[in-house]
Amino acid sequence: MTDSAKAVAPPSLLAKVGAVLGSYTLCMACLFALFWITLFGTLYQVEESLLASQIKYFESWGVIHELGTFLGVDWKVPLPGGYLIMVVLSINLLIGGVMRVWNRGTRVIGVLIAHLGILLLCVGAWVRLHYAVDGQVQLFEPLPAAQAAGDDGSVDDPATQAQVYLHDHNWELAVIARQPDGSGKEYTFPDPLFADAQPAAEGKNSRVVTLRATTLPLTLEVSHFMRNCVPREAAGTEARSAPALEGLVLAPAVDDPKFRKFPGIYLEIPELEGATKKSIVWGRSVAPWVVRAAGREYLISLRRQRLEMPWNIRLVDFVKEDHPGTGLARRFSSDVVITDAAGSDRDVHISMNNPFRDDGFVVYQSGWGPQEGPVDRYYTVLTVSKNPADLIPWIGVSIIALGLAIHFIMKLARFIRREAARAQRAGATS
Amino acid sequence: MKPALRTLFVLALGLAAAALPGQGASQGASQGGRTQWSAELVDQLGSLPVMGGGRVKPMLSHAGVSMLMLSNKRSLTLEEGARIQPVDWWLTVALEGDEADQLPIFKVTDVAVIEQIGLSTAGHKKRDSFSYAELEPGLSRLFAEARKLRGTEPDDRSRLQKQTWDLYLRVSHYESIRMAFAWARADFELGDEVLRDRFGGASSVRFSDLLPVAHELVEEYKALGAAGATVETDPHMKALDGVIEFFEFHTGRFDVPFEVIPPDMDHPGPNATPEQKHAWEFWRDPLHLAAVAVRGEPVTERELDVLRALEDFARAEDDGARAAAIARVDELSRAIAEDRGADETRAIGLEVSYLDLNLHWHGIWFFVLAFLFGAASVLVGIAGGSAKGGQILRWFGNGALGVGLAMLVGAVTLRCMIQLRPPITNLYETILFIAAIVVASAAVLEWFHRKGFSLAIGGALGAIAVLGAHRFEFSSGDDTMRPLVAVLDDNFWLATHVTTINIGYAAGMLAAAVAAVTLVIYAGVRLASPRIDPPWFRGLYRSAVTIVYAVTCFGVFFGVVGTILGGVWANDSWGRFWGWDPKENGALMIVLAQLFILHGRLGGHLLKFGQLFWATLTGTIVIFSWFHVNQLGVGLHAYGFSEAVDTAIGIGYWTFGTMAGVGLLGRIIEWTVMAAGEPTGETQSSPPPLPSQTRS
Repeated sequence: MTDSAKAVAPPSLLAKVGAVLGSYTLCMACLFALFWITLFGTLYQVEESLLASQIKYFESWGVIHELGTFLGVDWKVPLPGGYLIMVVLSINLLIGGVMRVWNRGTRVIGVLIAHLGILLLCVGAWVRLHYAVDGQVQLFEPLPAAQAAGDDGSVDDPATQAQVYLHDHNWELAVIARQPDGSGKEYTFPDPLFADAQPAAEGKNSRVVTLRATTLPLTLEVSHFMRNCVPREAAGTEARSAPALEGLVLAPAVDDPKFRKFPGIYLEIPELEGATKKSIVWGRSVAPWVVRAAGREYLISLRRQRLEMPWNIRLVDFVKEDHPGTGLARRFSSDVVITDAAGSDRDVHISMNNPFRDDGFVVYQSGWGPQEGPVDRYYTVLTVSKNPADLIPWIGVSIIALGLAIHFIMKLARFIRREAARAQRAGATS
Repeated sequence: MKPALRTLFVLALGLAAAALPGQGASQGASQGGRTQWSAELVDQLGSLPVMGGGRVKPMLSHAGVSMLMLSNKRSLTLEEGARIQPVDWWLTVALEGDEADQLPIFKVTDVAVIEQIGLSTAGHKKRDSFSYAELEPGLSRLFAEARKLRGTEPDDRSRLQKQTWDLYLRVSHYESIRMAFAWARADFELGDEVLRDRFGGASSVRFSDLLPVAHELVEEYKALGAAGATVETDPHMKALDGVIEFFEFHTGRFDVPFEVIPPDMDHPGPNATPEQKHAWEFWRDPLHLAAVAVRGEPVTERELDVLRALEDFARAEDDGARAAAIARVDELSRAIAEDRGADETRAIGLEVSYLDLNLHWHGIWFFVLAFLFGAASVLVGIAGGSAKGGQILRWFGNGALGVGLAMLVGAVTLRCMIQLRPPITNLYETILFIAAIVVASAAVLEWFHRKGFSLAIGGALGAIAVLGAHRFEFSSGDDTMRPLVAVLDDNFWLATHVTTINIGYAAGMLAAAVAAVTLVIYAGVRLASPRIDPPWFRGLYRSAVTIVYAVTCFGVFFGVVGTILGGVWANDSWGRFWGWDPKENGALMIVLAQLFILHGRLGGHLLKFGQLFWATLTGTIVIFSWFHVNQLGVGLHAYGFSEAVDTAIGIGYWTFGTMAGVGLLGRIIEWTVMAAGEPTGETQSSPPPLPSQTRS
């Protein structure tokens, strides 16, 4: 085969696609787009909440960004979302930053290592986004009398301990069937099951979602699910998107990042002891809706999703210290007892920057209260996270630092050698 | 040491000595109607340990923070040009209140707040200083306005309401200092024979004489009351009632900021309650000590001795006696502190030295010199002057830059030693640290390139940054060594994440400054000769692009590692690696911008001009991340809005934006001329490629 014959062989389609996907042009486009999405998402937090910004800009495939009003027109521009950009950038990194430089020798070994580290971080971020579960648990300090009795004084106090934690964002519809012995059998329906039960919107009728469980003798028909709402008196509420029920109506609440959002639903239970029962069930209600069926009481409530921990966690002591003469918190920490399934106890100290890790879970000191008024009993707020990618950031940063250090040190050494040679040539010429 | 180096060293020391503030030899006399306190008294009081803002610090620092709070400055310059330093001012307020009332110490950013309390602002500028005497007629109205604001959320207050509240706090602070020794100067007239006999027949006693028996007298009063006596019928009970009123009058106020008495007690032990720990840690104000004594809680003889010495200080007739009394307070409080074993006074001397030397501030002059020498050497090169001349100028410039850098590093090191922390614990310290990194990097670049360009930029940036640090301190009006909140109280993360990310900022700023200046020069050259590059420009342009590339690589390394370490820290503190917090996003944006430049260069999309242009714009992103996100009022790094910082941010954006725009103008001129294909002068036959069209 002659050289000219080699030259005319056209690149395959796969090679062309690969060249585009691994190109510097695509890389720059992704970096440019990610930059603007990051900026817009940051500024969006000033007007809206962090969560709203995450959903709209950073975890989306695409976004319609509002540029503002100019010449009486509301200018909007469609942009790729953070999720899409990260996916494309990861592919670009894999093809252009790893596969293309794989066989280029030691000159680019540092770049290769750094790119592998970044890829690992991307994988970690993806695992975190899709598989991590975050929530909180709130535990009260033992009562003063129990504290005086020592560590074991709080064993029987349910306010000091928990085996479940509450999901940060997810809610569930819980039905508790009261048993003859006073205990309760729980049926739970996570909010994704009835998230489609939306109120009527322009061009769409309201939807009803039916929920059933095999041993539950109730059929639950959910409608008008709202993620952030508040019950109001129907008489004074205009422009209602939901019907009035016993003089009340669920109305959308103001989206203010300072306030927690509470969802609500309209719940209908047909054929319940010869009649259809209806009620509004709201996430902030103090008492559950109680119905009777087949001689048994059922307590129905909308609550934050409850998640199991592999152990029981009990607060023994919470310490909050200020810098002297100031309201500036110097330290807050929780001394807890972790009791595992086998019944063995462990004393654990959790403080800021010093979480407890065990069995795939991590428990952090994240808050305390009450922060106002006279305090006779503090409570601690612990964030509980189940993140399979918990240690990936550590590994990723180590790999990236190593790669960049190798690359830039090699570059610096080459530069110094070149400068020295140039100086030597200049000396020889003169 | 080589003679040349020795000469430079001596010159630097001489300049430093000249720049240091003079120690006035005032002798407690009146000069021009103003009391002059003796240097001995000022020094003695300045090094007295006091507690304030959650830490033990020298009185020099404490008085400086009070002055910052009231006037946004660490000294007060009077119309006649005299300058009053913090301790002198504090002494005047505490001991010569009427005189202090005439000093224009209250800085007001908008006189509308003065008008609101019913005072005339005729003769004053919109932003001006007022004396306590000027404000006094409107104080009752100010306090009434403050009472109305007390129940409102700070975020819900209007700008004028915020200023009203701020003025109220500052006036209260001033009054606290003014009344700090009212108790010490008061004599209590003993009302009856029984009491007089108790004090050896004296007709009046001091506060410190009453204090040891205060609880006993209160109990006696209660016992008489229980036995049916009344102040109307029993003269002794009336006298005791006077004692109680006397204490109530003085101890009713606990906002006096002079916590100078370490509790003379043993550590409550590891199992102590937070209240017990607080009682042990919290240094006592004299009136707090009095309240403790009245309650019948133990007060030791050494604590009473401190109180007596303070009384002697307030009653002394001359500065010698005042200094001796403060020396006694100092000796006693340090002895108590030492016995407590808490090592609280360890860094008092260091902090006094830090404040007295003010190394970084005086280093500005050396940075200015470095800039001038560097710029002069560049101009010599442009003018085709002798290479030797340029070399000598650079030599002096490098010396000045080295001295300035040493002073800046000295200041940062002293702060580390005082706080026992890594170099950065707050936003103020980021400015000093970044300035040091920028100057050090510029010095290294100058060593490689030897054109005076990096030298001039390093000097200019060093001076601007330190000046900015001073402005920041003044505008924040707070202690720059405040204790850390719980989440930041981790030296490992402060030393790793915080320092690396700030090195990344420093690299971004240096690259932006080099690129911006080069773009302006480039535009000037294009305006002067659209097609011909002077020889000096080719070299400078090439060097600038290399510098920007090298510094960007350096910045990417620290930016990437710092940003990810921040994520790892967040993962340990809050349970999430990345939370899209504005500060995290800002750091990410810098890294993205720098990666954009490096990949654009590698892919051939960004030639020399493109690299310089984007590096200049990266400067605005660094400003956004470094300061602007803290002003947004959202996220975990929102420290509150500051108008002064907002103005500085605007100036930064405008500067880099304009310089990038000017560069772009030069580029448009180049494109226009190239498109027209106009033959010019020497380049008719075969024009060499213009530097912006070639890859580095």
